[in-house]
Amino acid sequence: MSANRRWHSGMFSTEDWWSVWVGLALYAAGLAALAGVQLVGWMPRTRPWEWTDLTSAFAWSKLFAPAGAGYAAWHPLVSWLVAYVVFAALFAFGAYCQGANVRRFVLGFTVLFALTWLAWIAGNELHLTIVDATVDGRNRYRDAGLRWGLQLGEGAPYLLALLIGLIIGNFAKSFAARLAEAAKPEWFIKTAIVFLGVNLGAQTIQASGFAFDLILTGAAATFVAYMFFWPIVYTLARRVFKLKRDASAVLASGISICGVSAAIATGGAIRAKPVITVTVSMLVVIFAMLEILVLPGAYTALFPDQPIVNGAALGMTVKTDGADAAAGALLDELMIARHLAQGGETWAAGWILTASLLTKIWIDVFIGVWAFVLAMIWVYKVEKRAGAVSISPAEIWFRFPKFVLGYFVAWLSYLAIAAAWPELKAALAAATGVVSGPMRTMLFMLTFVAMGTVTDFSKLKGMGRLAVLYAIALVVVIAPIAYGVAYLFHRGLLPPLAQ
Amino acid sequence: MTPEILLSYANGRWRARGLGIDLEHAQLRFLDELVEARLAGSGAASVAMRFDISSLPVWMRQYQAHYFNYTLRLTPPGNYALRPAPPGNDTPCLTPPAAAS
Repeated sequence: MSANRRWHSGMFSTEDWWSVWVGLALYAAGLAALAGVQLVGWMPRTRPWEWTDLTSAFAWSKLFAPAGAGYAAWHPLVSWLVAYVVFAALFAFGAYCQGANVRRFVLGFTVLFALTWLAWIAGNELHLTIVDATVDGRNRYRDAGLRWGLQLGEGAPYLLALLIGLIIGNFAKSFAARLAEAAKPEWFIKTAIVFLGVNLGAQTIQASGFAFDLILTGAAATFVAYMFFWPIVYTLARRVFKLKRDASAVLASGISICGVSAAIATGGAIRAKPVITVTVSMLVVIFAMLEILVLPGAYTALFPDQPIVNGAALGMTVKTDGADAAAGALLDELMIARHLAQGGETWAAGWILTASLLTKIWIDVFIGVWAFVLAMIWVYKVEKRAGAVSISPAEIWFRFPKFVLGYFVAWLSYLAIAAAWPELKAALAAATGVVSGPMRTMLFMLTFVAMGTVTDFSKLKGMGRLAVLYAIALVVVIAPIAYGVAYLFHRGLLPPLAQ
Repeated sequence: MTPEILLSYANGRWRARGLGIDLEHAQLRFLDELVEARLAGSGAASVAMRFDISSLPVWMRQYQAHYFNYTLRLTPPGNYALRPAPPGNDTPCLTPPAAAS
């Protein structure tokens, strides 16, 4: 890519843009149902199952079935095969345009896809998911005759997917290396986030005041990340840990803002040696995985009555989009299951995830501006080279996360259609339900597996005081302040009940 | 269109290639000065310095597909002076005319 870049450079050669193309293409295919053409109904959806029932009378349809009504007659394996072919083709074409080794990509994707479905199906076994609670006079746990159960709700498949990925990433490293070409958690999650724009559209219609409140308070979180977290962590790194300016800045951005992308943007802005950026990025990825494993469960156990606070706090604490969305999805499911068990009510799915994600997206949006400001400070104040070096404001656009555009296009177009043709609201929800439902969930599952395979905890060895600083900043600075701010804005807010 | 130099980083050293030059230095600002000195008489007023993203590991590029670009303003030809290498570096540095005077 040339340094003499135009605004549209990279539109067909970066994963960020490809998440927009794949996401919007499938969303548009879903919208075709409004014209009576069902283009995505073949997508299979998993079903809850119980192992004694399955072994006594096996049927694929007990495990999964096509999600679209028009495809109900299809054999489940045919719908699964079509899903594999469509997603493999779309992502492989994107990988080809990005210059990846397509053969290695397809092989890796095939394995990840198979593992994803294995985890998704296995994770829907009733002993893992179903909650012992009575809703509208019915207790499905008792109805199924269960004597024990982990009662994890829909969080069980996510945890299983993560476990499978982590086992490969840490105990089968040569196998993980062979999957590396296709293990793109950020690409998968950014595509899923475009789909989540559809969910936000539906949520805005369902409870517009609540949705806009989440959007606006997400903006406030941005202020906290850039104006509180960053200076505190930078000062800690410089004064207490005696790190150099460049390492302190890259680390402060990685911990405080949006993880690896912030570390790269800051490293680039201040023209730090790539070795610094790479080291900080490895730390971010490992700590983000630890946060996924700890925070959703901890927040559910410690603050079961503050679902939206928990979601927003997660968005400010967990770094990288993939890890944040994954942790948000897990928190969403664990808290719904917990509330169902304790209160006998079912919260509508997705609101806690939205709280987590909107906070993160706002923070992401300004990374280009922040990097530009740092670049100016470094050129004028630190290196004092204003006469020799100039940085173009176009760098702000080049660093802008493009998947956010896909998210907002999906959200606003959904709202526009619903506003222009109110009589189509129900049909719109049904038309996009496959995209925002099973397709989105499958991409989350794929993200969990891929993220596990690229996380190697042994890389923490030798990180020394960088790892100690990261841990201290996370536990003492980021997590408590994030929770305090989220509490200030969202305390007492609850998701609407599921209809 | 501004003439372009490709920057890369490997084994602790920055490398600048293009426009007929191939230079290395442990520190980027001194590499800039070497580039400036070599291109000072070329007639170009500035040169676009593009970082080769393939210098970053493949797994990182999904997070940001861009590290940095910047424009280096070229000083007109003058008396560039050699100064000793700073501690930890093995290549002598050039002092641009403004700084030398």
